[in-house]
Amino acid sequence: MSRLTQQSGGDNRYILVAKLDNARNLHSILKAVHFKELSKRFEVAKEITNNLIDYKLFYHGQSATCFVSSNGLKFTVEDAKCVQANAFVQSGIFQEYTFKEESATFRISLNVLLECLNIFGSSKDTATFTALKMCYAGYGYPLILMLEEGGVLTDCSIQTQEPDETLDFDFSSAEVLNKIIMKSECLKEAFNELDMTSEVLQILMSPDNPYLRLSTFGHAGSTHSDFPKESDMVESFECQQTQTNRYKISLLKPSTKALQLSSKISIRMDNRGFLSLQYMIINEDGQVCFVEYLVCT
Amino acid sequence: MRCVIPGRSVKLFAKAIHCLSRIGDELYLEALPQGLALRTVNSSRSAYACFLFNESFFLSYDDGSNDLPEDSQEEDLLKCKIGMKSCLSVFKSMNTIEKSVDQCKIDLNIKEARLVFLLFCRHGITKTYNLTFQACETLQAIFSKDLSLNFITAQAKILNDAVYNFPNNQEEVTLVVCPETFKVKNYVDDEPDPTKVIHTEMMLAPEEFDNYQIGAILTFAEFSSQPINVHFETGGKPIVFSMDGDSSYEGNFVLATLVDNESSAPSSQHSGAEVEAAASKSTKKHQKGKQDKSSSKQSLPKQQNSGEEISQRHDDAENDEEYDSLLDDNDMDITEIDHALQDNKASASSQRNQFKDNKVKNNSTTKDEQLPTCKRILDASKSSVLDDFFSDSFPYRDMFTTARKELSPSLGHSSCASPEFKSLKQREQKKAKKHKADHDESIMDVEADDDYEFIPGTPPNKKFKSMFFNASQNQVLPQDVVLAADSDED
Repeated sequence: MSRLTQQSGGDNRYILVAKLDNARNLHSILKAVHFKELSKRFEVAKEITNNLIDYKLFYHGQSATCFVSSNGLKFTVEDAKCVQANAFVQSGIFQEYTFKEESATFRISLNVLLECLNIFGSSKDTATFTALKMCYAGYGYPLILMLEEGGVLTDCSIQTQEPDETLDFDFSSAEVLNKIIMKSECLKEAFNELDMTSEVLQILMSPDNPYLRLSTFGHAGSTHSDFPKESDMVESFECQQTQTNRYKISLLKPSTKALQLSSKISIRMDNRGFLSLQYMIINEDGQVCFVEYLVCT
Repeated sequence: MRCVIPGRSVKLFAKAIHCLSRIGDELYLEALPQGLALRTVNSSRSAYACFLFNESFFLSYDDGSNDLPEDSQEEDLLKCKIGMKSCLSVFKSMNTIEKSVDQCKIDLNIKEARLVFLLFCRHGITKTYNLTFQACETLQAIFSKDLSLNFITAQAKILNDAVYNFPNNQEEVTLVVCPETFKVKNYVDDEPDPTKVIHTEMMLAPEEFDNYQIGAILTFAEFSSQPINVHFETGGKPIVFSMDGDSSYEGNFVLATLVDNESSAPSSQHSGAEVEAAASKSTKKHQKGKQDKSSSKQSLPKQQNSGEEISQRHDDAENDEEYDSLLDDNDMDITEIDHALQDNKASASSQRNQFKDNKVKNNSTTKDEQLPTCKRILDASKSSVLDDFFSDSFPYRDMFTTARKELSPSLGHSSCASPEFKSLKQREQKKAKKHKADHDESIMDVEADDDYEFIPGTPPNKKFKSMFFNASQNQVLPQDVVLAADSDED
């Protein structure tokens, strides 16, 4: 046990205390919902100010809304009012998880949070872990992160913001017409090679041939990738009717990050043509987390 | 055209396309009765590459000539041109392609105007790429391997090891080939301080050549573990790298080489010791001028190799003949290709100045000979050097030179009527005038500029095309200078 996880006195004033032996577990799942990387400009600004001035002056970056409950944390990120990504971090992921209230919601800069979690850098050596203790005292208080690696302790205090209302896609499994669960492996290549000159990604799901088809229409011409339901990559195939919907490719591209980390994916479409992509991510410690992308047509 | 590539050969095919992509930006496909030809040429038209995949390479091959409607122009329907990028996207993941692709079907669908790549992958996945294409003429460099006086065969690995010793950004290398030895030298000319230049020389057996694109060729050759045949004559004539060890396909790479007036002039019929002298002289000559070039070059992204600059000087026909005979004893000549990044006008103009200096020197040295018609191509994107490739066999030389003569005295006069050409022309005039203020040699310069925009960014059709690449248009070559025989068309 690291020193961090041993200290537990004075935690009474926090409504949330969560301890994690490997901060990378949280870091990687949050990265999966991180749409916008820091732009080059911000990187430069950051270097100039060299930590002297509050980062916030220079970038707000992307904010995530964090919902806290006794079941765990849910981070929600939205873009263009059309796409929503949710990262579910169950309380089981944490070695210790105490939450004293019914629920709590706050908004936080995802860029800053990710940077803090990675404050010791990402070492290639998988034997060294960064231990994390996360505390939150309630509405109006900052989120406190204490990180420790090899006896070095870092305290981070991240301002929380007033939570925004998040989109309600009202995506209920009762309305789902088509659902495919498959191994992510074969989709990874397809998503990596997406022709970004195309405005849209067209997804066809059908009980008949070609079952699942991803199409792009770019400058150079169109491409189609077909995945038959008989493929050994497909675990479950429940399609009721043929649906062809187009989604903005720029909105779907960020989901590639989640796809890369995931081992399985569930693709669902409801009667309105809304798309739900659920990724099953198995972290370094063999625990299962979920990331969900909801996209409207 | 319809063909199917078996899974085990897909990687080779993909490698070939990757190899071509390192040379040119467009891929020319042509379905020949005996197989599929993939060709490309770089933007400055100094390098040309061609792969011919024979029928035996494919699981099935149909050139589609039977399906054609009778009234159609057959030739137009069996070839097309696609962007290299779009083709690369089909074969993007080189590492996994061998494992994941079971079969690749290529279908040139004239009716729907699409070139279709159909990849049948593992797990039953199929990927369809419907690529748009452009109709085009046959791209065909006129060269001959068989008439070359010199010939080397080497394993790709050996050549690769030799080239590996040079830095990646090396623009020119010189091959010095004697009956006994084979030397590869780097050519550094933009370093102000000669003591800082690293001169690398590799001794491995008659003239000299060039070039960084060798890298692309070698990568492919090493993959296919085939020996490379190098056919060449002398500087100023194309060097041909060919691979024909496998009966199912063959690859030809034609690179332009540079000729140097000074050393190829009659004064140079001496022994080996003098060659070295000539070489060092020319090195020195270039050193000064290229300093500016290198500085402007640095501001450009390095990978932007697409724009290359070729400077090339040629004597006229008489001179050519003269040193052809001279060069039979495998001695003289310095050839060089400048690969420079030059969409940048500043660099182009500084270049122009510096070459002027060179030219002045050249003129002084060649004064007592008939003043050769000098020809320089400064802006590669707007002009071609493949003509220079074939200079000695070039049937249109006379036309060229006369055109030039017409153009040079009266700048406003242009034989070509396109507005694009005219505007270029005006720009050139301005430049020329500017030069005039600084230099007395403005006439020379104007002459050069005329060449420079002789074919201003025109699509590869019409005039220029028909001159250098066209196999489909009938041209009568003078019988005594036939070098136009091509292995693909035989």
